[in-house]
Amino acid sequence: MGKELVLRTLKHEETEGIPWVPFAGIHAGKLKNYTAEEILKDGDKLFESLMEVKKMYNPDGMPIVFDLQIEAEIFGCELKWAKENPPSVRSHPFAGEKKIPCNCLIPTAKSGRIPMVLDVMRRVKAEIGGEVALYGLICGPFTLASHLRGSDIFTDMVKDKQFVKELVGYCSEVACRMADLYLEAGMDVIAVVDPLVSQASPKSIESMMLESFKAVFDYIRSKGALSSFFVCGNATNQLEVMCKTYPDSISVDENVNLLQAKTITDKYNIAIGGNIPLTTTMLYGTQQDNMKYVLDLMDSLTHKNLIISPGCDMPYSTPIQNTVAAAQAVKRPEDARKLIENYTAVVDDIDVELADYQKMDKVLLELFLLDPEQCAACTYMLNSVKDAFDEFKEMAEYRVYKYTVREDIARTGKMGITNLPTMTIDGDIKWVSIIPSKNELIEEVKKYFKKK
Amino acid sequence: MINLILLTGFLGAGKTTLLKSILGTFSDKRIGVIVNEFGTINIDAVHLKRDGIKMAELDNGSIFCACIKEDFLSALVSMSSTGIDFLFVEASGLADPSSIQQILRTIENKTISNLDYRGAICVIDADSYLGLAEVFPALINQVAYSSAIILNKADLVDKKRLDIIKSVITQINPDALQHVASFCNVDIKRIIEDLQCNDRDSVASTNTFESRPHTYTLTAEEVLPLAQLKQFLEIISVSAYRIKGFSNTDKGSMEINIVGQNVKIIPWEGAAEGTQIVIISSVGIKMLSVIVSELDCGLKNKLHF
Repeated sequence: MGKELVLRTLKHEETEGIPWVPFAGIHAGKLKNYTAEEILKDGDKLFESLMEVKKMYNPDGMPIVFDLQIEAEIFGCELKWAKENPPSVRSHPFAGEKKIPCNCLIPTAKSGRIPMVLDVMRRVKAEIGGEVALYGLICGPFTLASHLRGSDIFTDMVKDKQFVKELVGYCSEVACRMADLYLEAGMDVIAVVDPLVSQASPKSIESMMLESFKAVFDYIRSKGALSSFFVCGNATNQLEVMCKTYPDSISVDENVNLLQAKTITDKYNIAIGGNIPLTTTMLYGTQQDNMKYVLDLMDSLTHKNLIISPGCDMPYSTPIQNTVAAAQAVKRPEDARKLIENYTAVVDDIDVELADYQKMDKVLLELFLLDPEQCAACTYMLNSVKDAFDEFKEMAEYRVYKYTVREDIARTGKMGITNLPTMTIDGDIKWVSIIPSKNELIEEVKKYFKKK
Repeated sequence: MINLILLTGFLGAGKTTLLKSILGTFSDKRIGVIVNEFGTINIDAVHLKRDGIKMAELDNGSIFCACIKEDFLSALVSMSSTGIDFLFVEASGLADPSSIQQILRTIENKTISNLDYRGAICVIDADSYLGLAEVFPALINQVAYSSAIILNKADLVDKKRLDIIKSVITQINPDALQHVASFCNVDIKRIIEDLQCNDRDSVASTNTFESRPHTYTLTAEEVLPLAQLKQFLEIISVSAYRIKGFSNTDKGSMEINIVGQNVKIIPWEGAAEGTQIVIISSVGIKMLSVIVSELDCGLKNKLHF
């Protein structure tokens, strides 16, 4: 039974197969022609969509809601809604005001959209909870701290480490309360989703966040439940310190080499999940691409402590047949192998013209992003340029490329970019998955402008 | 006219002991008590409820902090209509009373009987006050805004140290009368009679959300093995300012009273309904991990959040 496969994997037992956990968040709405906004606000539409996920993708485990803004909204962050993406945070109630929020603001069962989420959780539990491991996703403490504080959090990390530690501690209390609510509603696994962790150095995580994150996973464990630590972006360097928070599993996206990652997580006997590429394979690839990717992944890794899943929340318009193909490869690998015999992946060869930096009067900053509407790290990288732009607009211009656009995918490949988000200056790779400070950015622009 | 007296002092200094003594001394008077606690469970109230006095409980923060100040004001107004002679407010351990006069002015025209603020009595733990005052500014203000100060647990310090503490207290508040005691054994009737309100100007309290310590509550429905409970509490006390509560154990009902690493688990003459323990962490959220780790010593699945 699928659910047991997930639970036993998270308990680090030997299993007869590899669990398949599709992260069909907003994509679930696509299956019933509901927009992302509709399923994140309407419980009936969400429930209907999740039943369709179960029917179409035969998951061993599945999330109920993939929306890291539920908590932020309750704290007063304004959200910008979209048809094909989760909402993004547009305002930060504690930006410009360095304080720890009051405990009375910690969400309860009646706050914001939580009643809707809990209701759907209970309904899904009743309907399929015996067959499928249900994941309750909560916003990780560091990402929540950044929602509250905005980009000031990065300055805080340099100038007031104790404050960051306390704020992340507070957000961890929020995470524990959310875990309580979701566990009471029947969730089997609590996933702490913290994309911004990939932006912090391991040393920063160790000094300002490790205790708090560990407390959350210990708390979940004390409730008799299982946990997962989700991260986006190139978190290779952060994996070791993430393991020291002792979740039952870690989930990574395509920026991380899963083989390399598993050598680290195996040391700690922590399960690892991932990491089918969301755009190149799931969204734009073929069924065969998806089968081949999954089979190659399974063939390259030891199977104990392994979960196969998309790298993160699947794009809204992921073709159903691609996800079905991935599911088939996990569930019936030998059949899938036969289907892709003699198949060679076709590389998209759209011709894109790169900028001629030498001929340009101004310095060119190019931002290679996943989707600034959806990816927290991408949002902060873009904002770091926008916030500083007035200081160097006479010297530089900037362009944004999104990995959801075919031409931009081709450009990313041609530029030799291997991780997102990345910022280049006049074609030189400068920052990879790291947000530059304002001063740093301005100084670099000036240096390049001097060379013109 | 209701005599309003504030009792302040750090966690475990002896406020509840003092209040119990007051209730005994003033048993011929009509008494009301407002008990303020950090956690979600009010352990001190359990000690006092059996005396059948009028009581209001304010949990989950300091009464001088913005988030429950409104509740405090409501409790004061409500008590003013109960026909009591004395109203004692036992503030939580980190309460900073520097805004008390301002608070009382807010409700001047709303009370049924006038509240005559007689002043604050501050209980300090002679053994630990000096170190704690460096960490918590509220403790300085507790002394500064008092009219009488009880230097409690004096039996735990030598004369030299006691003289240093007295000198420090005098520097903070030269006007307050100081009383040296153990187990808050003072002539409380005389102290209250001699109380004169401290006229120091009201300032904003240092009680903010940031200064609230992390507080955790553990409960159990079944009977707990006393030996393992004691071992567990001794280990986690290293990471706590204060632990208090009651437990239904295999050796009977027990009262838990731990200040720093001074662990007291003594038979409780009342009946404990299950176990309720409040832990005030001195290590922030890390206490969650400490608790989870130590529960594995035989209390797992019995004692829980």
